[in-house]
Amino acid sequence: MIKVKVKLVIKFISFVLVTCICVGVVNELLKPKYYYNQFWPTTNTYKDFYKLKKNSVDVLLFGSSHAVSTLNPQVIYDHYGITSYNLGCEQQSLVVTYYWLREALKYQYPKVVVLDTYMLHKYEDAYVYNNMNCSETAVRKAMDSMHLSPLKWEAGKAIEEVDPTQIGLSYPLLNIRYHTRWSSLGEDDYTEKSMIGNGGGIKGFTVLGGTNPDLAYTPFKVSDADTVDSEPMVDTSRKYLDKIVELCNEENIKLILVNIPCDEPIARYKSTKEYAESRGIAYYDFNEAKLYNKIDYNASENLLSHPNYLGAEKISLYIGKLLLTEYNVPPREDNSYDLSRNLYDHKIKNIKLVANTDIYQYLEMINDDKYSIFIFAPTGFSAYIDDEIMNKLFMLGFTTDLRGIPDGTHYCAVKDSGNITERMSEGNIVFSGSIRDGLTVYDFNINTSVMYVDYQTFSMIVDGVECGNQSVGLNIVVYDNKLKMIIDKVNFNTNVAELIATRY
Amino acid sequence: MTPVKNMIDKKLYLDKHPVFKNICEVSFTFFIVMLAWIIFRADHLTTGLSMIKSIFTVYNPWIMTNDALYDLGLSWKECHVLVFCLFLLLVVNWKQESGIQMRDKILECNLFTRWCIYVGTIIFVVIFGTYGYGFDPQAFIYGGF
Repeated sequence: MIKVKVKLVIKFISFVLVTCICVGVVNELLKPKYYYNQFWPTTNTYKDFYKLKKNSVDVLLFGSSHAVSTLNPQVIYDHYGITSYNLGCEQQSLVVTYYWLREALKYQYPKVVVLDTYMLHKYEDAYVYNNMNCSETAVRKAMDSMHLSPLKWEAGKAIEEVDPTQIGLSYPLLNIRYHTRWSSLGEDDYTEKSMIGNGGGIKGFTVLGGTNPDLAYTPFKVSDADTVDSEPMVDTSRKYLDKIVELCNEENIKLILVNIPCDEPIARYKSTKEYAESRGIAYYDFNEAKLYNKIDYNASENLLSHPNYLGAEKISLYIGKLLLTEYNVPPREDNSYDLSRNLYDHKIKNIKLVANTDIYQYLEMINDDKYSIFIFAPTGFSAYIDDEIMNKLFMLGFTTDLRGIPDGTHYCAVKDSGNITERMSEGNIVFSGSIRDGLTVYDFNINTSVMYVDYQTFSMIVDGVECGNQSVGLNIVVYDNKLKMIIDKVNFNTNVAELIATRY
Repeated sequence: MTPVKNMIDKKLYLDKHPVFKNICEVSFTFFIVMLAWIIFRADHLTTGLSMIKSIFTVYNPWIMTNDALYDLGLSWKECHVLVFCLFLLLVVNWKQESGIQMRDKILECNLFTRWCIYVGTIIFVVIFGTYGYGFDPQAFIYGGF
């Protein structure tokens, strides 16, 4: 009798286990993913964190998208040898910061925590419906990747308490939130293994580009704060900031508050400053003129709120030096930074490529196996293609000489990992193929049989995106095989001497 | 309704074709229930009746070919799931009516097959079930009332 009962119990436990494992696998599949091929690679940030060696990080960085695009562990390591990790995410609520700090402390023993202060105050009117001070999506992006544990359960309950529109149980049981995603699963949902670890992300940092020559910004002086009233923090933010301070004190971790150049009201600076002073916490606001000028920050060149990688470098270098000199964080060797450096350099190269308007430099830059190249020249393209341009095209592997070709001739070409496909004709051109071992399909179709121009076809579809047009010159589409996406579509008008570049 | 049913049976010789008769009965019942659902889900009785009327009076055969049906709330993928589920329901119902107890049949299977069926069913409900974020069970149960 006892034997039968034991057998039954074992069977029951086994069944529950098998069911839980299956539901877990399905939930992982259904969960939305945000990898390094997106602007904000939140999934990489948190999933990569679990891949780090235990006790390999001396500094943890937290905060909103401001922190994600500014606090660069790669730069800090490359210049000062200090190992850090950015656990920030878009609109990171202090509730999320607190729970992720607790989660991180299970795996790492940081000496310093750097916290961006942007989310301490009201984020946007649109989100005042809840006390999280951010969107539901932002909370989910950070919390969904947390490993299943009692802490995640606790976090879910805390989030529901702060924002009753959310279901706390849906954090450990993701299917409650995402089961309807079954009809929109894509390649990224099935390729997590290849996107995580192996240099997947840049230690939680995201590389942004761009400048704004029209942006005028004057940083404030400390004395300006004397004449304004301080703006109170959001209640929940304040409550959880207290908890973070308490936790850091318990764990003997030094806390640093920072604010990225973002044109915030001085009233916010004042309340954060008062808070920091009352608790003996260091606070660095890069909107303050002395600090702003010290790092040689320039809003029009480096942008506000979400700095380009050059602006991020200036701030990260300052913080790195601070960590080394003021906080005595020692440098150490960590070869995982070699992997993240590859992606960092690659992303910077992409930013430079997209900003380039010189065809000579451009053709040199795209001579990289990480890129697949599509050329579409549907009408006239030959007039100003000189020897240098042609030699650079030959260097890329193309073999068709494009010099002295009469207008009205069509030219289409594809370069993918050394494989070259070219077609040149005055008649119609129709062909299709694939890159990335058949995962990305392209289709060329030039049909000028019909006399009436409006009914002629000039089409080049790459990965479902129409990239064809009737522009004179060479239309070049660059597909990034690592990021699995088109990164640039540019027309170089090779029928005029200026070789004008136009992005489309 | 019985005299009408008997008359139709007689006219169409349905008693001589029991399978066909069964299909007709099921289809008719299904049709009546669908009409009831329209009234149940409509905001007002008049709206429901006018919707039923339009089924027979509005000429729009193109909706069967221009994907307009997929704009009513179910995408083509969801329609595939619906067709699969209806087919499964029909088969199980038919087997049960033929005297084959599906429950007994499953219990006769080996452990691996049984567990596959159980876990598969749970996963099917987890994925395709109607629940969770944005779902209001009261709105579903009470409809337009």
